[in-house]
Amino acid sequence: MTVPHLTPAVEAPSAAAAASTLRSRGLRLSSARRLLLQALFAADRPLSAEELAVEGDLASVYRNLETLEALGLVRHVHLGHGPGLYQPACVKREFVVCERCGTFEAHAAAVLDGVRAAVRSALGYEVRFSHFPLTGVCPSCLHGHHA
Amino acid sequence: MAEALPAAAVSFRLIASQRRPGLNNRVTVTHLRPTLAAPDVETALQAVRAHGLRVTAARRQVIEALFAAGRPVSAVEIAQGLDGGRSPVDRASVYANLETLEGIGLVRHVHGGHGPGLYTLADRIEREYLQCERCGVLRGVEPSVLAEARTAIRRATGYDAHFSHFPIVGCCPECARGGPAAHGPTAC
Repeated sequence: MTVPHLTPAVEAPSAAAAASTLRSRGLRLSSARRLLLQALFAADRPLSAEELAVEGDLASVYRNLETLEALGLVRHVHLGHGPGLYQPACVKREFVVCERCGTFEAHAAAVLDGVRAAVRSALGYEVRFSHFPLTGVCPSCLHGHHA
Repeated sequence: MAEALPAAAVSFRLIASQRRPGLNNRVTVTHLRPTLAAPDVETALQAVRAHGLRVTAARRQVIEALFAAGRPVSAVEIAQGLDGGRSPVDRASVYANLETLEGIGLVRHVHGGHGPGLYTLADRIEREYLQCERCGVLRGVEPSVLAEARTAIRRATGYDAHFSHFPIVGCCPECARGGPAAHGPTAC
């Protein structure tokens, strides 16, 4: 799978901290990169490259996301069949998706620790739901509230 | 602010720009069809005919390949004749046939991480899958093995989860120990 995703997350809790990490690694803090970090940290959900490319150049958004991901500042998550979505690496957000209605839920990682422990004790895998979501049927669909 | 997630889950749907045009963007509709059990090639072909569909040469080859493979395989593997063991089939025709066969509940697919969808006979998916994001190995297990995980998911989120369509993704025990299959210097 994607190698950058295995880069350890850098503990940069804000856009400013991420920017100084970037500089400390000898990379330039261009205004495009600064805006990208600000948008990612301000969002309450992961964003697509298209959403982040407010002023045009999609290719450079992808390039910068790749650089930030290789540094461990940003990570992508696969939600649905579309392109990957991006969020700051230090945001411990994990995802559950309903395969009937297509709703995603973001949870703090601690919420799913019990699931992790159950998989670990059954099979020895260390699992996470930050890169690929948990898939199932949501309570509303189970109770027939959604079509 | 990194941990400033609300206690309650944040729910959202993908907005237009995150959707793939032409799809209805539910995860996969055909996967929710009832399973059609076929213990052998002939029964599968009868089921195809019973749905008013023709048994073309390509369709027969796809079905035979799925029985021969005995594990989830990609459309490309089928098109290439399963590593030379069988005759090659036109790739577009493999995709079209897999979709048709999935539509009648005879075939299902499982998503393998960044890789292509993998197809198998629907009644063989009594299995659930885990995938290692380091070595890429897809491992099938009996659903009962993951019963406790399912209970934990139900308790934490209210979701009724299964891992036959999308595997649980993580790091396998071998890679976690830094075994030969592991690549990359980082811990899981």
